[in-house]
Amino acid sequence: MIRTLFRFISPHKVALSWATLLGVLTVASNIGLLATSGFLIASAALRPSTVLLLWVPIVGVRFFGIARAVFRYGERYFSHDLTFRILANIRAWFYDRLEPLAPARLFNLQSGDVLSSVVSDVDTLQDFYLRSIAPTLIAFLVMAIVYWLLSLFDYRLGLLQVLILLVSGIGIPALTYGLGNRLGSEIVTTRSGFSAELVDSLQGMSDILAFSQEQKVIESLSNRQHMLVKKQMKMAGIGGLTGGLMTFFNHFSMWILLLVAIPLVQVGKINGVDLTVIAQTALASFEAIIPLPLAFQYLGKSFASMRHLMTIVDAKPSVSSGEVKMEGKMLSALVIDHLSFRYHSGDPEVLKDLSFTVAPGAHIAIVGPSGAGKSSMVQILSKFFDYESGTVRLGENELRKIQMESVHEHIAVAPQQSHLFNTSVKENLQLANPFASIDMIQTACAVALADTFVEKLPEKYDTFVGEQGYKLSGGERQRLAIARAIIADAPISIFDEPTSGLDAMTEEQLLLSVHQTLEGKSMLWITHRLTGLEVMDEIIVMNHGMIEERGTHQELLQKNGLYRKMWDTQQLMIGATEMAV
Amino acid sequence: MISKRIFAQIQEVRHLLALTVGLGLAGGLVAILEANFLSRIVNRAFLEDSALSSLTGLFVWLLIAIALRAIVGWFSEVLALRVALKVKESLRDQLIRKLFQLGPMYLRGERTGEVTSTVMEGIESLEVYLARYIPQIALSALIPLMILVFVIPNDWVTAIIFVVTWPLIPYFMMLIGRQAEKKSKKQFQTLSLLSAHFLDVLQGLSTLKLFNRSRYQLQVIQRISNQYRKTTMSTLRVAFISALALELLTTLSTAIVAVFIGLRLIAGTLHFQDAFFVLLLAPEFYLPIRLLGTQFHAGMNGVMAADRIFELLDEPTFQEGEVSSVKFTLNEDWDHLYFEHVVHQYPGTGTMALDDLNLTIHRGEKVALVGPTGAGKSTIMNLLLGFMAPAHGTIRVDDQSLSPALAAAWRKQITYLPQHPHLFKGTIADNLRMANPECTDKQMMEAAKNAGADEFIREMSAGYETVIGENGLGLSGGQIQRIALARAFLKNSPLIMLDEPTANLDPESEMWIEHALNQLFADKTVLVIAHRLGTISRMDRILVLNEGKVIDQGPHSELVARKGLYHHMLTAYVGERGNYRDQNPVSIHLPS
Repeated sequence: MIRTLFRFISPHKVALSWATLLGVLTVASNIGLLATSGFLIASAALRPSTVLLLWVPIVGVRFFGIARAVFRYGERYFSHDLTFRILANIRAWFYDRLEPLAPARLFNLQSGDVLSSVVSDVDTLQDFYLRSIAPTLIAFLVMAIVYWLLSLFDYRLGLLQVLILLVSGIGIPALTYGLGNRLGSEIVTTRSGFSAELVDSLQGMSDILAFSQEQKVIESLSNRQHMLVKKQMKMAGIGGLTGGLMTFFNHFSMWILLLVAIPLVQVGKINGVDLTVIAQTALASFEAIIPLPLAFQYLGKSFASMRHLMTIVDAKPSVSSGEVKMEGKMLSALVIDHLSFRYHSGDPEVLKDLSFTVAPGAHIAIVGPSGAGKSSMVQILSKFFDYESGTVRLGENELRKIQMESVHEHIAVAPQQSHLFNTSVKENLQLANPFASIDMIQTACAVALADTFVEKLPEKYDTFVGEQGYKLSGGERQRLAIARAIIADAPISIFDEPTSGLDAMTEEQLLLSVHQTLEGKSMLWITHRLTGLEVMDEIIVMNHGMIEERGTHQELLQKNGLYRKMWDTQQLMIGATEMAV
Repeated sequence: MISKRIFAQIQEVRHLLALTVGLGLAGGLVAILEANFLSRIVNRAFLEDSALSSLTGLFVWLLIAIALRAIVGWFSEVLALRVALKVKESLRDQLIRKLFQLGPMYLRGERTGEVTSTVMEGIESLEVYLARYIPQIALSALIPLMILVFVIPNDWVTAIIFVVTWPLIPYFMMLIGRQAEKKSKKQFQTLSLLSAHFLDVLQGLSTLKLFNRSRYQLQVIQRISNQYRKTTMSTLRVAFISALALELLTTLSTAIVAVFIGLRLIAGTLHFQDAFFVLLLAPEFYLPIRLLGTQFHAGMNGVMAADRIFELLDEPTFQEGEVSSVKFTLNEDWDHLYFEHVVHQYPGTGTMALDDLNLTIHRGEKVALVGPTGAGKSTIMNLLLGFMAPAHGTIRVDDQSLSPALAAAWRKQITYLPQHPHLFKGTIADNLRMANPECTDKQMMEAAKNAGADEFIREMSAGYETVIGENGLGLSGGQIQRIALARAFLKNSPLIMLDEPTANLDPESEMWIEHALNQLFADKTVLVIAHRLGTISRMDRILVLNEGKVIDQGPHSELVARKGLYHHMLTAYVGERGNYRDQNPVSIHLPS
């Protein structure tokens, strides 16, 4: 894991060296400034015959004064640049590892929360260098400089100061960790519990108000927050202690160095002039140590984030990529033969011994109550999951052995949950074919009954749809997903519950329109609503992962089976449309 | 830079805040004492050749000063954080109360996420602002003043340098800070844009894969990251210059002080001890204002967060007063509900949700609302629930106007079953009891039995004490509906409002719901947004709504005979064999 963390940094060795070097020089310049200014006034106090004798410290003071600012500028510049480069590396690495796993291995991650936490983990790691590595490197390099500087007077002073720096640089963060680690994780849990209760209460506010429970909920939230605040207060005490100890050791090092140095002045081992230099050096050198408690805290956070990311990408891809490449877009039969499937071994089978054929050019509907296995079948036909027994053949070839890219060229899918990206309508549709002209796009939208509402958008096809297309209604998003599948212009098209957000009349129109457009191509229309299915060549009724019955609309109505039952229930419904508000 | 509203919040803790500043000042005083002892020690050891033994007293004093400095620093940090925590807690409480006053209509759509992040992270980002930035504003003026008081008698020349250079720092900070602020804001935005883009790509990964575009996206991520890096670095290159100028000003001031002192030491117009004392204080003099500079950014973030928080707190509520203070007597034996000339429009939409609606419901009457999406059915429900107030017109319970203040009391009369009932994280018993906290276990189970929920609840691992996830995670749609129905039985109120589920439920749930509604509706006033013909047939009156108006009403048979919109809605579902199919259906486009 640590090796992976460093791998993000290692391509940028030059930038890394510059940033670290400049960081060291920034701290060193401050030591230089304070030490030379001390030396300057001490030498001046001896009243040399001419000012010229003070020329060196005067230049030194000015030099360090300017150098400090310039070095700081350079350090900030290089380290920010480096941070951005590292971030790009981490993103690319994570995406590269994640992409082969999608979507089969990522099903439990689909919830927005998990993915947002992934993004914030990546954001945490970008500062791994800036906040953890750099301060640690700088601290050690500055210690070396401090040792060298103090040894000019007496090596014991150097040793003593480095010892104090080490003890505070390691001891104080360790103490903070020991005192605050458990409390820290308690705070994290309490906070996320509070946040979850808040979200739950806001989402369920209608029910809370309707049952007059608002007082109770507000009180419960308030109590939970109070628990959190009490813990945070304790944590504040520990944080303050860290700062206080750091200040103490900072000045204590100066105190003890003087205590050692003054007898050395007495015996003539050190010049009295140098006492100011020693005191100032001791005071200034702590600048390198002060960021360390935070650096260690950050290190812990980075490791936690990295561990989280690793658990996600360490899974093995669930689909073997086939070798067979199918050139061109040939219209061929899709044959499903004795197909059985389960998501995990040990789980119940969601598809049981399923057999049917989509002949070239056939339009087939698959219906059934929710949980019948319709969507699982779409997952398999998208080559998102491997099947264990039975065969699925696309033309001559077994689906398992065909390259994923070829499968997607031959089978276009409008999935139930289609993602719209935060870009224009046009670019969202061009995802299916980057070279699609605006004419093609408009035609496809007309087929999907999406043209009317797109034309009403402020910038028509160039309108941005917002995050996950939130500027559009559910029904509008679905129609764009259908248009997208039509633009893909594949020999076989699959529409998975494409109309659940639409009213019955629009649904019927849509089905007819798509049905006419895809004349001569194969189509699978998956739905739980039995509207307009008269035009389909065959209707397959699924229940509990099996085919319950099949036939045309008329045949099925006469069979008096599940289809008839669903049909009758539907007759008793009126105007089921998407939610108004 | 200072939010006045925040200061109003601080009123309650202002003595604590004053104490924080006081401790900061004490820290400054101790620093001056330390410099004094230190300069005396070095002076005597260096120029008077004093032995260590004769310096013991001073060394002890110095150590005491150092220890005091550390302790004062510790206390002031803890105190500052306590102030911040108290203000944060109070603000967060206010926000939560406010949200409950604003009600569910305010939170509809995608707003929950934004509001949650304001309540959680927004308030959190006030911490630095309150605990560091605000005390630092005071300290950055007071500590330099205090140091000046000690420096002037020792060395007035340096004092003049201090006095001349100090105002330059805030001046430069203002001058370049504004520009830098814009730039750093922009940098922050680009960073969050980058994160948002990455999240977008991750969420759409399976869609990308379906269209063979997922590998290509890797290059896009790299390209965009690099582009952002380049543009951001070019702005940062300029933005960092401000920091350079500030740094330069303080380090050069120290350098100038040192050189001036040195020259006067040679001239013999200054004593070494005073000189060293002043030199030690030079960094202390500039430190507070430099700290203010480094916290400027965090301070700005805090102000921005505060703006959003107060915007939310200032959001006009239609419910006046505190939720808790709503104590209104309502005549529980009401006879009629009236909607009189009710007009309502949702902000940001061009169409009327309700357009001059007049409606009377008698006690004991059962009324169905039907109509296409956007006809105004949900608006009627939300108004009657007191989740919002009509833009014009009145809603009355007998002769009592349903004022916002009455809403909480009025809701005790209502059982509301939304289309998607919310189950809370917790046990099933908790979720049932919220309908009637005083009910006995027996009553609770009786209600569950009536709703057809008892059986499947008992089959769960811990029965009624089974913990369910947020939003009923782990339960089927039909089971959630049945638990919501059990709640309705528990509440047992005179008015029942129901938004019928449209989802395809499993046959068993359908049967139970049908059965339970029959029982629930007995002897009650019922208002239902109906989708099932079975439900509609049990109603005394059907209101057909379109575009915010009642366009037709009457019993089912009458409406069918009239062949209007109601008739047409029925035929939409029905195939060739259907009972209601017209020979030449009129094609009406219902808004979706």
